[in-house]
Amino acid sequence: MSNDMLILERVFKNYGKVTALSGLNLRVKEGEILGLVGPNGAGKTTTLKILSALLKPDSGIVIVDDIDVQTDPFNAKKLLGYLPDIPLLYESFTLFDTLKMYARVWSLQFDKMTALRALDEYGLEPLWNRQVRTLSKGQKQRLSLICALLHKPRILLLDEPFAGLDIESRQFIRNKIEQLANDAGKTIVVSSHDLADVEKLCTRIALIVKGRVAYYGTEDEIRTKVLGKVFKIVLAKIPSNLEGLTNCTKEYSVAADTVTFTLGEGQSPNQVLKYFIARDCPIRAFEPLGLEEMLLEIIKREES
Amino acid sequence: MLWSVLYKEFLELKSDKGAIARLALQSIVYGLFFPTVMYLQLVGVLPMEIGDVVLTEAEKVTIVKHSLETFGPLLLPFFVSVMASLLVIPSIVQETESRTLERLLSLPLSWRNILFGKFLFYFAISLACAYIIVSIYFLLSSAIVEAFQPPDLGTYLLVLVPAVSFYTVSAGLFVSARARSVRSANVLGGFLTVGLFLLVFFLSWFAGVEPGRDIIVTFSLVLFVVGAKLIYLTAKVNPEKLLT
Repeated sequence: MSNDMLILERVFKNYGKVTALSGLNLRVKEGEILGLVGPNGAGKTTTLKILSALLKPDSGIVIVDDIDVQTDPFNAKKLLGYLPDIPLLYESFTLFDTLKMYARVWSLQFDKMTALRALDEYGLEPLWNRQVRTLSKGQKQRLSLICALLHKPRILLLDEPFAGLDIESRQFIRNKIEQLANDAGKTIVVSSHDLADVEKLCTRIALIVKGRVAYYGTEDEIRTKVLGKVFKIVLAKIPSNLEGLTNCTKEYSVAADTVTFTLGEGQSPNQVLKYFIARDCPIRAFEPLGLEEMLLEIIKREES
Repeated sequence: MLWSVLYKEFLELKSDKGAIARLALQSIVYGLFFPTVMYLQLVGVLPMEIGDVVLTEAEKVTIVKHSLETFGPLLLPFFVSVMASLLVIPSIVQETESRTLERLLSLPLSWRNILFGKFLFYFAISLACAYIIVSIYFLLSSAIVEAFQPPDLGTYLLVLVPAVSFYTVSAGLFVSARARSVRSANVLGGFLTVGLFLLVFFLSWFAGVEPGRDIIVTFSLVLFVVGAKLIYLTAKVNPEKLLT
């Protein structure tokens, strides 16, 4: 038996004439935090909604821990905790009533102490009797996460969990997600536009473009596979003549104070550094191409 | 699973401060309305004569008695429908607009669980409001005129009132599941429920229909059949279409 917790195979989904997914293949291993990234309309949210049995694919296979989501959505949902892109809570409910409702749906034993313990873990315990509408966006997102976790699912599907949150809430949610994966061993899929968070959080990344997974792997794997060894170097001043740089790089480009270069077989970044040091160019920064720049480059290539 | 939806609806009603009191008060007002108008006419506070016609006390009593026995019972389904439609028409479309339905559907609840849970809840609440309205009406009417003879009370209370509530809740949910916004749901839903009973009231009034047992049973049967068909069609709605 494989340790793939989530499997999507040749999944197609159309909304009328609009194609959302066109033969998407994806596997997520147990205990992994997978980041779904890609441009708007690429199919990230549709992928999460199909996994959580909210949408039915037009064709393809969707498996959650050996359960076919299409034939047995009820049992598949028991394994899943779904966090939508906005909290989607009943604004007039108190926090306690919100949790009571979820507990009733999941047939859980639930009392005030259980609710207070759950809320306390997320810093919401003093607000237990307040209406949801009085909470800040960050507090609502925390409550929404508690609701998604109440039945102790093994898999978490998080759609844009950091959207519109302040730094503190963002860090709080990110730490919680890490804790859930590392300590509780949950398998987590995070869709996000915030690549800095994806970079910090995810063990692997799936880049979705035009309804299919264009690249899958760790950030380094994708970078090497797609772009080769690409780095950028920020200089205090770009020399007027870059003659000889082609000897230690496969290709390079210059934009403002940054030189982006790709290394060929047998070439090392040290050679490039030495090249600029020899020309008396103060180096301000030297790093591999960032995730955001890399994805922009990939998307550009894919879409063309 | 049905119970969890019922419980959620209950929590929603409970969380709306004063909603239960408002519902009860509104039902009481509807129940009081017609007998009060009749009483005020009988005691001369409101005019009963039109033009130069002068009515004797006996004639006034006869008119009031006849109105309370026929005209009022024809009007009551309209009031019952008003109460039920106010509650039920926004119930699904509001959840579609706020996307809370998406969250419910991500839980182990099917669309049918949600629909039938809502149906049972609103049917029960509508019935409670309806019985407040009709009880007040019949009690007050029998206090106003002597030898008050309402239509076949058993059939009226046990068949017509549930039929009106059943149809209104079904039609309200039918419209609510298809509407794109609360406003459009109110327009179409209002026509299919309150509007329909208003039309039926005027038609039966102009046609001089007496609310006898046969008419009540036939009309109720039609309402049950159409209501059942509407709820069946609503259950067939693809829930994906409700996810915005």
